[in-house]
Amino acid sequence: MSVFNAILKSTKACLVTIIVYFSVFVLFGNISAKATATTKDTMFEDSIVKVAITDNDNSALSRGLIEYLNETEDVVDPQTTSIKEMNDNVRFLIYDYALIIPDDFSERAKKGETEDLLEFVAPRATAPQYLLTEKIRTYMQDVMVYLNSGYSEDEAIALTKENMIKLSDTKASIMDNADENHRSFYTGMFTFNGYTLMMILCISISSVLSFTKDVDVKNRISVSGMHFKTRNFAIIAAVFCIGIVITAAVTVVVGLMGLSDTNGKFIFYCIDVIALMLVGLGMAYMISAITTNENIINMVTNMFVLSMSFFCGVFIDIQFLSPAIVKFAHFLPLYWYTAAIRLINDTPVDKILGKTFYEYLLIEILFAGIFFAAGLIISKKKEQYAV
Amino acid sequence: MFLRIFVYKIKELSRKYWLVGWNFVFPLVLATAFFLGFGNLIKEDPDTLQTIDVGYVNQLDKSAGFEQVLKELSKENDEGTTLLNLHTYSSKDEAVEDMNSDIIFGFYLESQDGIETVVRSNSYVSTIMNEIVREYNNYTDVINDIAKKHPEKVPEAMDAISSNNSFISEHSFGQNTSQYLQYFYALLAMTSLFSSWISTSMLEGMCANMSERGKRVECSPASKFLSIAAGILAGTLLQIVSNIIVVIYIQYILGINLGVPMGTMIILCSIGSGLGISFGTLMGSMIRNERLLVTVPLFFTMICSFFSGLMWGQIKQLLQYNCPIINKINPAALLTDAMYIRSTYGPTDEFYQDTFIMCLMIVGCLIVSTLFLRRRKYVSL
Repeated sequence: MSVFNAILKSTKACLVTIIVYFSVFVLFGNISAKATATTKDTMFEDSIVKVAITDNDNSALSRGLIEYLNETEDVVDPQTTSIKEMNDNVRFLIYDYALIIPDDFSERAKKGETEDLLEFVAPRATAPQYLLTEKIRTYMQDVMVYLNSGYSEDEAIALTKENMIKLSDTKASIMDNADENHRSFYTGMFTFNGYTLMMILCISISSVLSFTKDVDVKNRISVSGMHFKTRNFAIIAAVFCIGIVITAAVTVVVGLMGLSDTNGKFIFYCIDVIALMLVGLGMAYMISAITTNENIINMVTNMFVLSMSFFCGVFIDIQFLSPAIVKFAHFLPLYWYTAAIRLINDTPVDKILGKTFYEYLLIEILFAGIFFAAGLIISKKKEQYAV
Repeated sequence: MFLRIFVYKIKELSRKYWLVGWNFVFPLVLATAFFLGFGNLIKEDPDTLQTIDVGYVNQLDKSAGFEQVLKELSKENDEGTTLLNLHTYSSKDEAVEDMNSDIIFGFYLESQDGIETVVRSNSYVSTIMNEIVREYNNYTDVINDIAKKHPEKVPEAMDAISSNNSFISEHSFGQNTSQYLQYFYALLAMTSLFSSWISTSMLEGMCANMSERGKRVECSPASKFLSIAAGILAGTLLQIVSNIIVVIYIQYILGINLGVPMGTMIILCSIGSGLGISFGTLMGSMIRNERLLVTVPLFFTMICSFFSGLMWGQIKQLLQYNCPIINKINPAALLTDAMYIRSTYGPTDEFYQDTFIMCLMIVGCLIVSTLFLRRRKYVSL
């Protein structure tokens, strides 16, 4: 019991690290999960573009255009008059599109000019950019046709608006029968958890294990009357205890944050997290066998876990990765963790428990075993050659 | 004496493996991870509108002209892109099957009731599909309106509608820097700030209350100012070398064009290294706890890097409108911003302002550190 208590007490030294990574998980995991969560669509809805408009003309024509965009899109304040800042804002997704109405817009339109009446800033040739440019083009086309056909400015604006509203009734429908393509809040949180849980486990457990490898501590333990088996059992039990407490805290937090989106799949995510915990413990053991220097533990963990998170679909969705990277990721445990999460997300609750799910869990446990075995071999060799 | 201490400091620092690992190896590993993660996104932006695979089912004996519109949109336009890739189906079931197999994104169903757009989920692409139907219907409505009041103007109106007027043009800034490059700029900023460890580690070996070596240094007749200055310069030199290696690795080995001329990049990296070293010196002069000397620089670097967009590219711009002062006092954000401005807009006033603030920070940190370190007395050595 004394070894068990000593190990638990040593965890205090890593408390700051645990709290920091846990806070990162709660804050950024939540933000990213909420941002990427999508629900099943039941009816067709137009996607709305966030557009910032700068009206330097303030004419009836420009106000008509703004009114139209106000009714169909999400018009926001540009927050600046500088075109460079607008470019920064669209680039960093503060809004999707910045429309600038020049002061001679109405004058030139009435003269019948059709080229470059308006200016826009958008990040690239994206779908929102194409969509809004087309909408504005159609609106302007209509107004100009009416104006050139003998209608007054007010009539042209009113008729165009009327047409646009009438067109909103165009028939469109959704035929969606699959869970795929819809990412739940839990999926987002547990995917991000792949990074934070591995970091917390690897750093804290490796550091705790490295304390026991301190020459002085090691000698004192060796000369104590405690049996080898009891001592090692206490160390293993303490390490598992830390792992379980951290994992439980993580799952409880996710469960509480996702109460509104709760579904029967939560338990399966928890099973996957437990498998990941074993991988984390195995990896921590291996790292502690490689080094006892806290700086190197931090560095090695960061290198391993950060790289894995990039390759295995934690930070970047797997669909954006090149096929070669995805193939390589098959040799990393986080890939199987995220694969299991995707499987849970895309499969109806009653069909999750199946061969594929068990396979994914088994592969994760195998990875945990491989890491543990590698740690044992490294420790043995180090002892053998007195490194 | 200065040169001797300088050389010894370089030797001492470069033999600390964990320091070499964090400052030289870790940035290379992270750059590789970034490259493998979104290197292809920099070269080929996934947000760019791709050709949309659409289906068309005609339940009428003859199409009123919509099929012709779709065929027109399936041709390459003046910019060399094609909006639609048209698949024609004889029945709705066939189209649904292909839509569920991801062969087509959605399809149009033309029947007696009009044209219906069918998709699997709501998105910008589905809205674009529906917009095509709207534009098609719109032209008919406009012509009908004109025919009622000004029938003589109908041919002119039809010409105007079929003409390809642009009305709106994009403001170009010349350099089209990918938004994903932001992560590499933030990575370089993080690498620079990692040099704060070099300073804390250097000061640990120079302060009598921190290490045995510190006691020896304190007892030696060598000028303390000279020793610290030599140490700072040695650390800065090492960090500049580290940064240049990372830049060369990203630019020439990974093949990602950072968009900043190499000369400017080296100057910015040197200033960044100076920033990291001076912040580290400040921390080293204030903190007396060995554990905190490792933890504080790490968290300082990570927090600054986070707010400069290392993990979430949008954060810097969000702060710009909600708390702009953070961007002006965060060394990583200043360095990232300087690189971004230089690559996107060239050497503008903002670029020089960022550079000036960074230089000011270096001087400020060193002055405060001097105040903390000067005339430090120990009860016993």
